[in-house]
Parts: sequence; C-alpha cells; structure tokens
Amino acid sequence: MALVFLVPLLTTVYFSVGGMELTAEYFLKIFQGKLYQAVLWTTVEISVVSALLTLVVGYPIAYHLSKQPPRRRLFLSMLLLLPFYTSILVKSFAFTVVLGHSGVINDGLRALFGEGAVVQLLYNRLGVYIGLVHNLLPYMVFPILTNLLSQDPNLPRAAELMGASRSRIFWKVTFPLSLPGVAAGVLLATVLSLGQYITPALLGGRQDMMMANLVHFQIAQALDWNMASAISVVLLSLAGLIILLLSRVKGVQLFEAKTVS
Amino acid sequence: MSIDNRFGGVPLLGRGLNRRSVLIGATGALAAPFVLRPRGARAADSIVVVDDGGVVQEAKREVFFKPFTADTGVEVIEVSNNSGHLERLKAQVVTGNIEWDAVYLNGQGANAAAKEGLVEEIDYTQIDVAKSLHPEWVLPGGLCYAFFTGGIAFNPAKHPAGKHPTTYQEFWDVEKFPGRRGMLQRAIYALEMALAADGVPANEIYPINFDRAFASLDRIKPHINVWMSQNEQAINMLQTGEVDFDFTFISRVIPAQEAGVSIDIVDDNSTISGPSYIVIPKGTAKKDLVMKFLTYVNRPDLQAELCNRIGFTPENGEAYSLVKPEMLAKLPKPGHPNAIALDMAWWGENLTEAEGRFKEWILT
Repeated sequence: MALVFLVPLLTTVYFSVGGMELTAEYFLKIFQGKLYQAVLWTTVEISVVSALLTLVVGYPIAYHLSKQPPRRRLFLSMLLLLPFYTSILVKSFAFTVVLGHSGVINDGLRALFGEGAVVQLLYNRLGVYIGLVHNLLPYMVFPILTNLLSQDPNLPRAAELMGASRSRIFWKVTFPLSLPGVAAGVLLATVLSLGQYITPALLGGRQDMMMANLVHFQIAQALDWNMASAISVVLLSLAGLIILLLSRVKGVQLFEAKTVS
Repeated sequence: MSIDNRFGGVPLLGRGLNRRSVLIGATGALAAPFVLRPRGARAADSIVVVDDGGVVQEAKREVFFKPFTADTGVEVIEVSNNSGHLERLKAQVVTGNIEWDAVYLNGQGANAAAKEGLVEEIDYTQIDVAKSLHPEWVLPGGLCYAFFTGGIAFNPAKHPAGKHPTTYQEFWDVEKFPGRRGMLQRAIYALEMALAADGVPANEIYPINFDRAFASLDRIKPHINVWMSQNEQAINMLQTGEVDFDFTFISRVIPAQEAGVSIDIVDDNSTISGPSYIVIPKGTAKKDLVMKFLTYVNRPDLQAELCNRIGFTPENGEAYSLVKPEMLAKLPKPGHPNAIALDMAWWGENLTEAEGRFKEWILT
C-alpha cells in the first residue's frame, strides 16, 4: 500500500524540483506569477465557500434522513447518490435546460415578469457553486448522517423531559454532538473541491479557473511535467494545511460537545 | 466524454492496468525490460491504433481499418481514448513501455509530440503527400490526413440570412448583430478570430501580434456570455438557446444537422482550419506495419469515403473529385482568400506563452 501511494507521490515531488537539478524555479513561477496567484486564491475561495454551502444544504438532508425508518432512509440515500452515476457533461447539459438563459426557471420568470427578471444562474461563480454543491452533497450528508444515527436517543429524550423546546434540544444537544460529523464532511468537501477541474470549467465563467485546470494544461498540452508537478505539490500542501487546521477545530468542538452533553 | 480518464496517464492508473502491465510488473524485477516488451504477448501481425471513439472511430473502422486488415491480414486493435492521448503517449515513451503503435492527434498535439521527440519519423518515400492541400502541414513526425474547419455557428430558424454575423468583424459588431455570444476558452482560434475581426487579412495573421490580438479581444470580452471549455458544449449552447452565435466546427455541425437540430455554420468568409494527424509512438516495434497502414490512411478514395460519412475534410487533394457533391457543398472551398489555416509551426513555438497570456487575460 505504502509503495503504491508513496512512489507516485515522491516522483511528483521529484519532478517539481526539476529532478536532480533541485531547482526552485517552478515554485518561484507559481508564487511570482500573477496568473498562478489569482488562480490559487480562486481555488481556495471556491473550495471553502462550496464546502460551507454544501453544509448548509446537506445538514438538513442528513437530519431528515436520520428521522426516517431504515428502509425509506435507504431509498432516499440511493437517490442522493444518483449524481455520482451521471457524467458531468450530461449533467451540465441538463443544468442548462433547467437553469440556463432559456431554461425552465428563466422562461418562467420571463413569462411572469418580462425580460428584466432573467437571472444568470450558470457560467458564473453561482454556476460553479450550484455544480459543486450538487457534486459534493453525498460527501457531506453521509458523515453527518452516520454521526446523527450513532447519537444516544436518550439524550434528546432527557432534554425533552427537562422541558427543553425542540429547537433548544437541536441547538444544545443534537447539533453540538454532530460536530465531528460536520467537521469530517466539511473536510471532505473542501479537499475534494480543491482538485475540481471540470465542473468549474463547464459551469463557471471566465474567471472561475482552478489550479487543477492549470495542472491539466501543463500535463496535456504544454507537456511541462515539472511545472505540473510543482502545482500539484502546492495543491497537496494546501489540502494538508486545511486538514491540519480542521483537525484542530474538530478537537476543540469535540471537547465542547462533551461539556454540553 | 469521460473526464475521469483525464489524469490517468500513468501506467498504474486507468487503462494501463491490464493483463500485460500486471505481467510486466510481476516479472519486471527479474528480467531486463527490453526482453519483456508488451508486444511479446501480442500476435505479431497486429497494430494498436488509438482514437477518440464514438462515431469518428466507427467511421474509421469501416473506411481504413477493415480494408487494411482484409488486404494485409494485419489486425487493428482499437483503443478508444477520448482525451489525454498526448500525456499518455509521453508517459509510454518516457517509461519505455510502448503499448500503442499509431495515435490520432490534433495539430497542437502532433507538433508538441514531435517537438518532445515522442514520435517516429514518417517514411515519406512510401507515402505520396505531393497533392496535400496544405504543404505547410506536412510534418516529419506525423501524417496529416484530414483537417477540421471551424466557423461561426447559429440557429437559422432564429437568425436567418442577414440576421447573423458571417465574418469575425461582424461577430465583433454587437450593435449590428445583437445576440448572446459564445467562444472557446483557449488561445488557439481566439487569437486568430481577434486579428481577423481587427481587419488583418487571412494570409497575414502569422506571426501573431499579441498586443493587437488582445486589444481586439478586449473589445469583445464584455459581450461573450459563455466561454466554453469543451468543444462538445457549442452545439448544446445553440440548441438550448443559451447563446445565439458561437464558434464550433463543421464536423460537429453536420451530425447535429443530421440529427434534426436547427443549426448552421457560416462558410468561407469566417473559416479557421486546423490539421488532424496520425503519429507513430517512438520505439514501437511495429513501425513497418504502421507505415503500411498509413498508405491506406493517405489513399484518396478512402479519405473521400471518410468525408462522405462524417465530413472530415480530406487533406489529399486527389480525394475531392470522389466526395459526394452534397457533402462537398458543406465543406470549405480550398484556397478561399479569407480562409485562415492554423500555422502549426508558429503554434508549436508559442503555444505555452500564448496560452499563459490568454489565461491571464481571461482572468482579468
């Protein structure tokens, strides 16, 4: 296992310093180039925001699923996994039909309020977020769902007996206890969206370029594998940093959660 | 197209993991690699040909592969790989693990491969390219057998004659031709469009003047509603009404028309053509067989037949008299004064710089 993972990883690092040349040239290009800086920032922004949006959409879904009888939950979970089995090109075509300039939503708005009401939902940052949330949802829902299902059902019952309202039970008991699941979901979603390439390219605007897009250009068109490796190493370090930060946060929350319960 | 394959260039990932590569992996430690060439496991009289799959590959199977096999007895083992030919070719040559014998590549790909030394030289004593329509596209490392032509596409039901731009100057003229516009998000084609829109004659496009091209692009930038990253998007965009005019290729418009989509593409005054090549990976043991195969790919009757089926414009000038008149009517007229032909030598030298500048430009 270690061999399968480590050898390609070390090869990438080896390429990123120009092999035996041990040069920082490629990294300097990344940190000094306007293009790379702009794209790096876009990548971080898109990853963090789309992970948080996925949390906002995904948590209620996970909560709802946790309240369902097992058979129904299984059925609904399978629906949730459907996007996994669809090609992104087909999905982007479907998105255009629903959200596009002449899509269902905009045709409806046009019929009701005239041409001025048309909203641009695709081929801009919003389109990227819609596409990514759609993609990342299962990664957010399942860790939270697992956590919610493993919570001791006696805790909310006890809170209820003590006279707590339903919203108070949720915010004081259920939600704090689910924070490890939330952290896991956010972590997965952020790290996965860091490497996104095709969804932003198909649904985003001209400014929504991701680092992976540049990696692809260097590998497949420019054939500059050293540069591609250097970008990958930066991207990987970024993912590592986010994991590190989140694992800290998670620890704190765990501690607080215990105090509450 | 499968996007997932995009990064699977290394042999341990993606399609590289097959019986052969496992075999090599297991025995590689014991024997020198050259003893265990993957082709050893294959029938001697076969070649592996890589293409994009889909209707294009089906047509090539009927037109090129079957007659070749029928005449020579050499089996064509097809690999469908709809993206990432170039990086996999490089991975195979760099690691010395050559699994492919012939690869179809676009102009940029073939030139990059030749520049990196990833391909065998074509033996032009066996192949007659004297009748090539574009002598400048004859490449030592790749055979140009067809070319693609792009132009401004539109929906004729929505924008009949006079209501759609027919030149790049008109495409840039948003007041005279109001409508939502789409362009491909890449330097190649965009820079040529920009210069043509700025009034540069077709034969003076190269060498590309970056400042002039980007100044021209600045003028159209606020009016481009969708920057398409994939060729596949162009037809869908017109079909769903997302854009009114966009840049795409005749070879994509023809199948869409045949499928009943209301779509057309302007001719001759706004065409940009680029070559399509077939290359031989460096180090293949089957070069002789592939050269024989290439004589079929260069045959006028077969190129005409491929054109009749899917509208690939033949590079061999002798093929034209054999193309059906109704197909010929849809194709660009060779030698039209406004037709732009991609200068692959210029792009080979400048792709990285042009793409870098284009990416920076598009972000700001």
